[in-house]
Amino acid sequence: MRNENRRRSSGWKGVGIHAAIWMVLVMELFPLWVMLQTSFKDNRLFIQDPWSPIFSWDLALRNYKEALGILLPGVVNSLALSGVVTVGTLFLALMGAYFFARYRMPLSGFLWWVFLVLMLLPAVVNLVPVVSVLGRLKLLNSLVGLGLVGIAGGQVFCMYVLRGFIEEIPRDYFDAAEIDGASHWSQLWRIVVPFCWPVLATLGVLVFVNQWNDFLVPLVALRDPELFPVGVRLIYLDGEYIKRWGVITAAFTFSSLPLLVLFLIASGAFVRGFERPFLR
Amino acid sequence: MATIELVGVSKIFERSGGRRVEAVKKLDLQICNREFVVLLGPSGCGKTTTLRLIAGLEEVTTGEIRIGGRVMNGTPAKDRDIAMVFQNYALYPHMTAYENMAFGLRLRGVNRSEIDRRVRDAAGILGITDILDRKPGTLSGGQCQRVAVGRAIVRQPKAFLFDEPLSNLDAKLRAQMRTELLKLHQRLQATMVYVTHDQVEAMTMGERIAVMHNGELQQYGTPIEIYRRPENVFVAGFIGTPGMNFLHGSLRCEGGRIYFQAADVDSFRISMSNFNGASRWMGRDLLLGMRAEDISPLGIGKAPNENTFLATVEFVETLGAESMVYMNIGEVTLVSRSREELDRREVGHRVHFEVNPERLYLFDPESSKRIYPE
Ligand SMILES: Nc1ncnc2c1ncn2[C@@H]1O[C@H](COP(=O)(O)OP(=O)(O)OP(=O)(O)O)[C@@H](O)[C@H]1O
Ligand SMILES: [Mg+2]
Repeated sequence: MRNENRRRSSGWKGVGIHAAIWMVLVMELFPLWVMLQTSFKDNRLFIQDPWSPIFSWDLALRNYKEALGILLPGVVNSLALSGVVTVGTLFLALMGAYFFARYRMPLSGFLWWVFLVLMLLPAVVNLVPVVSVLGRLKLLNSLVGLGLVGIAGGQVFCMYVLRGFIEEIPRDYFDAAEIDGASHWSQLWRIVVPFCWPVLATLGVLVFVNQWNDFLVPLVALRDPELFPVGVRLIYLDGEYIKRWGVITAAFTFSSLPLLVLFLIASGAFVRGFERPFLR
Repeated sequence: MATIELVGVSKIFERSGGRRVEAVKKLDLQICNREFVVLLGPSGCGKTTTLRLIAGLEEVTTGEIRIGGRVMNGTPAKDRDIAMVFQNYALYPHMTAYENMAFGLRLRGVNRSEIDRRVRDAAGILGITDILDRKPGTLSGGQCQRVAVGRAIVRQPKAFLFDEPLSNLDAKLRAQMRTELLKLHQRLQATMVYVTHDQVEAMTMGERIAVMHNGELQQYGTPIEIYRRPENVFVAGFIGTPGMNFLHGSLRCEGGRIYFQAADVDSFRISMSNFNGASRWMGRDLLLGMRAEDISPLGIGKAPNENTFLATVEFVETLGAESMVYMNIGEVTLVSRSREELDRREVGHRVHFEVNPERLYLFDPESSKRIYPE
């Protein structure tokens, strides 16, 4: 079946597919390229010629140094926040998904639908209620509050994905473990996690990136600049009278660097996560 | 080691939409200590469910399960001290064969050296010592099977439960594993309950066979009993390859001799003179049962008699030592399996066949119970 497809995709149809892939790639990569090469220029060079690359290490060094000065205090916040949110989200979603996949209690079907409806709501709708709840919990100007919001926000999607994967694990594995005397806890760790490892890695990347890029909630919920994550610190770049494009793009480049690294490390698992896990 | 007793055990599954499935109905089963019992039946008859009830993976709806004399209702699977081997082996793909076998012991907090000793003992018995550090994905079906059995024996449980453990193996390996499991049973002297839908497996392995159908126990006995004295039409038709031939008809008495007369075919008339209780059933609709191996073409030079009948040969299949002859009597097709050669030129002709008068069965179609031999 797959072979046949491959054979058929050579020929004109294959050319078409390849052209389409390249078009998408160029469209995706072009802004990145503009960002990267602009970060090597000052405003004069940029205005003279915004498109062609000039590699001036002096200018680049200056731009990046300045950008780092502005962003670095946020890096620790961002790393901590995204890290904790990723671990917390996966951990809780895993337990929730395990329950929904393996047990039926009265109303669990209804509960599941309620969860799914939550997924349909755009996140912005929640902004005002979230901030007012945080305010009442006295968690407004704190990273803990942000972490809780992040963890809660990822639950529905992650549980939805994980439930499907857990339900695909053959029942015999759980039965065998049960006879062997494994508790739910050790069934979760010794069966579910190893089986769902690729999809957990995939979800982990998604959650991490999502949290790293979150701008709105931290902007509204945080007041102390020391607590700002990288994304929010980017607003300091926005000078009042002139925009310094070199520094701005240097900062952008820098702030997307961790994501790039993470993605490269996890990309193997990322791709595997979309396939079904190997069962025997 | 232990006895296993099921007393009036029923299991009802509530399906979504309020539909109820009674997978096991009022099942009574006594399994003796050290016995090898086979649960046999067609797909969906409740074998797996019965096994899962014994294992404690499923709670009974009514009835009682006792293991070693202790009532087990409500006892979780891990405290029943039984081990189960699953059809797809259920080996964890991320653990080596060794780790798979050690898993249950580790969870129970057995100390390291004891685990090692037991795993290596079991591996020695099963001949898998050299694959202990490999993961299941790299093992053949037969090796996976052995690891799965090994995981059960290291626990030294009171009883072993097998759910169609050989059905994923090819025919040759299956035959080999059959004898190995039997040897294992002798060596361990353990109670074993073995589920299969393969009657050859059941006949060769079981000390006693419990035949199930639609969640009900049809008959429980030794392979010979089940074969020679099937309790009802279902068991008679299910056991044997091919299953028993059936023919509708009734008993007649002529000149002091008792005959079975086929309903639609005047020429089919077989002596039933050994049936002492025949008077009760005279003239009533009955089902005659004859095994294929008890029908054979009448040998050359033998005269037709009260144990022979005429039938039209439909088809001849030669198996080497034996041949199968498919024949028509009226609307009914019967099968014979015998060493007697029948020329293929006989196809389409009417030929005399002989039945073994010692091996005739009569069933009451109403209750489907056997009435003869009494
Ligand atoms: N968890 C369940 N929920 C609902 N119905 C079930 C469940 N498990 C089994 N059944 C039903 O119970 C009946 C008996 O099933 P069981 O698995 O015991 O049959 P089996 O004899 O093992 O068949 P097979 O040879 O196909 O394995 C079937 O009709 C099945 O659909
Ligand atoms: Mg089954």
